[in-house]
Amino acid sequence: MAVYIIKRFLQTVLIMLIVSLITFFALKVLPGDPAVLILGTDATPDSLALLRESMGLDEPLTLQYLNWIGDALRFDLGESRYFGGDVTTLIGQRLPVTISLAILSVGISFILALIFGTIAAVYRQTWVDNLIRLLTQVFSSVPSFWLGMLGLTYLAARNGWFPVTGNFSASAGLLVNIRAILLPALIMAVGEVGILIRQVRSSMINALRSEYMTSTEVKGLKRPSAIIKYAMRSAIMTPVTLASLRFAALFGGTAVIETVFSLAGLGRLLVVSVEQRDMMLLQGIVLFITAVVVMISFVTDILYTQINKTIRIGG
Amino acid sequence: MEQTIVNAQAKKKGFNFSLFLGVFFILIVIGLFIWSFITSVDPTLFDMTNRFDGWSMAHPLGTDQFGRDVLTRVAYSMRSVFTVGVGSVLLGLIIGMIIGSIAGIAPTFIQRLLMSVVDGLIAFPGILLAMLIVFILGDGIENTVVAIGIMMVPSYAKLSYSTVIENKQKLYVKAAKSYGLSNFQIVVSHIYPDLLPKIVTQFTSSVAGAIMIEASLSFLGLGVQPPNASLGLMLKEAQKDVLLRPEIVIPAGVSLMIVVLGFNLIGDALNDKLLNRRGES
Amino acid sequence: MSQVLTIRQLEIDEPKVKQVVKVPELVLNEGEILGIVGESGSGKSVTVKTAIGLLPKTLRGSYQELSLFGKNPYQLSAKELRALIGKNVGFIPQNTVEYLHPLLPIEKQLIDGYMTQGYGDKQAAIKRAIEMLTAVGIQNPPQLLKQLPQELSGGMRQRVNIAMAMMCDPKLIIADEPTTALDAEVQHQVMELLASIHRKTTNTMIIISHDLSLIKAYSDRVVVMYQGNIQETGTVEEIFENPQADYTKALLAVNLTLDQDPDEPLKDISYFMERNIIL
Repeated sequence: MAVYIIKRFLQTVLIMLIVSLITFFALKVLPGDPAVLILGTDATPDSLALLRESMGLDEPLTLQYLNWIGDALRFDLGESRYFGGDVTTLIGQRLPVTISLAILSVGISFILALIFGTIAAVYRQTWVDNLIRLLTQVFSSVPSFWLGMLGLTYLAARNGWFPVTGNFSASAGLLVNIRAILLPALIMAVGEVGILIRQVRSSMINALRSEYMTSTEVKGLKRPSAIIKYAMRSAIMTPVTLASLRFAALFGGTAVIETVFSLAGLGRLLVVSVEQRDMMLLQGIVLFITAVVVMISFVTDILYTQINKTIRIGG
Repeated sequence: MEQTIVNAQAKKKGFNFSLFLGVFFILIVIGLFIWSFITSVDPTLFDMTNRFDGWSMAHPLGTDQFGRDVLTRVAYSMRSVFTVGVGSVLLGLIIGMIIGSIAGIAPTFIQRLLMSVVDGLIAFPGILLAMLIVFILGDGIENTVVAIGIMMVPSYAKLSYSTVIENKQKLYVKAAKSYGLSNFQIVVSHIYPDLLPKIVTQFTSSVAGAIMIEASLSFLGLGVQPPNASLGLMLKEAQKDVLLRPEIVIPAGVSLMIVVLGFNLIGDALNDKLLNRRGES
Repeated sequence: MSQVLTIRQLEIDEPKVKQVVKVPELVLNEGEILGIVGESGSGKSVTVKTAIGLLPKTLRGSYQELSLFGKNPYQLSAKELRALIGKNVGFIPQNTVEYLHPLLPIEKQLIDGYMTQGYGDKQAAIKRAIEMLTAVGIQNPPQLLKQLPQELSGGMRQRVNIAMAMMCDPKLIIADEPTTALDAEVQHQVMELLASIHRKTTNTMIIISHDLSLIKAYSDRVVVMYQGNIQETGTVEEIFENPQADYTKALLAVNLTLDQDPDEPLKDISYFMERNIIL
């Protein structure tokens, strides 16, 4: 097991290396003077020269890369031209919104997936199952930003059920914050629920086929009770793993929803950095988000394997 | 007196409604696509006296906030569905197949190198990679094709790679090798017949994904730009007026849904067919 | 002596694929041990499972008469069926690994059936579980109750299965290839355990196996099945000493005997059936 952890960890490091290389060198490919790109075309020659020196833009590429990585590992991701502040600080400010959005969204879709995936599995190959699968595809095909706009109009602006702007701050109470992100989270969940339902359905079908289900029938246990206490217990693991990975994926995926709902999150920051051609900010965000995703994948993988092993001893 | 025990699951499925729906939707898409070349209506024609019109003979889907005919705009948007949606997937597919196949038959060092790069690409979540590429190359329709195309490379690379590796062990490949066929010939004539159905199955689902990504990018202003048309772009422009006139987002949104859903349903049906060759779904 | 199980004209098939079982008559008398013998895939398990109301969901069946303890399982409501099977039938599986849920402690799996059938509360159920575990030869029942199934050996798991089957003191015990997955030594122990339970409680048993010597040693009556059809029925003496059907004769002949010439290739059933060899 320890060997596996080390192996996976090395793989993770390798992937991060490649990701950072891609991120770094991709941006170096940009035509034009990097200093101008960072400071803008109206910067003075002096400030350009100063920047070049402080950033080591005249040094050999490998050295620049190593410096950048070194700084990144110390949580120094440079400065944003557009916002004027520390990239790391900016990310830190925007992080709570995105994390909350991701957690709430995955949480909602997971619960819905457990319910409907199980129903689809129990009624496999009947019209109920086919209907659920069709609806799942429909939901996955709905453009989230479109649904967002409609939701914003009908449920927020016109009915006042939800607030219009996502005013989310650490100082406001928990309930207020949840209300602010509930609608966007629900809309994101619509897009996410499909893949989770599929997984729950598949795992439940396998679980329902297992021999222990026969034992529940022979013992005369009530069917719903048998499904929840026996089948779901085995079936829940893979969906949880998937949910964890989807959570990680959402870190890069909230951009559009945050735009529609004017939420000050990481995704919105990402979009702004591209719009405003803020290279340092973009580099920093991309590196940060990808690192988080890769880390979560790694931890999820290790935990999943560990739990699986516990089941398999003596089997 | 005979009695029967009825089991709901024992009945076999008949007509595949989902597939029918999927094909129906794609036919609509193709129809609109062709319409965009036939119609004489100008999608960029402003007519400020006829803004926000409802359905009429002249404007079957109404007019938008600038008085432009919505139906024609939707039809023109279908061009980017094919250019970007299908185009980017083809790009990713071809590059992916090449990388995966080479990795499959190459010596270990190159294999590890290639597949590590592929793993690196997959690590970028969601549209992050596309955004990075758009930053580098700039926006616009061609760059969007490249950006999404690169996003598509890993899944086809992995698919090709695993199929080549899996088949390499099989007896018929070893036999072919023994009569002196080169690796390249083996891959193409022996392994590709196994690989191609898998790729075709994956293709439609990829297109659905690519279209969704393109719409998102265009919605953010980072993808297709005017004068090219895209459903994402239409939704972006509608943002200002949606609170007062939510109807204007309906045609574009529903059309986008139809496109994506159509490809997804067909992809599903193909996937079921592929799985049925190996077991049950 | 009443009949525990009566089946007439049972046919089971997999729709559009093949016929699985065709049984003109099968009867189980109270207090007897019925051995059902045949090769794997001969339809033994499916027939018995269908008899107790558990026809697999992917199959379709039809029958003229099917009665278990005087009732037709397929005409009962779900609740009635649960009571009928839960209180009166115990099942011992072939697959000792998967029959117990790997993630649930043994205690839970032993007591839930007992409690659902209304025999007592949790305390009473645990007490009964300990009794049953002791009866099957477990050394430290309270400790075992807290364990997970994977921590036990195959033989011990099968004992737990037997204890679980006995929880509600069932009138019918079905052992479906109970020893197939076990070591030879343990096989004997498990079968002796089942036999002693039969003697003590005078219950009715069905033993399904492809192992002829096992069937011969423990059954009162025997049913021989092949490809979903009953080849022959009779008392254990009738079947083993005076087999009537060709298949039965061939099946008996195919068993290795100690005096087989080691250089001769092993003969399989078709060899005997073709040659109509009588032992």
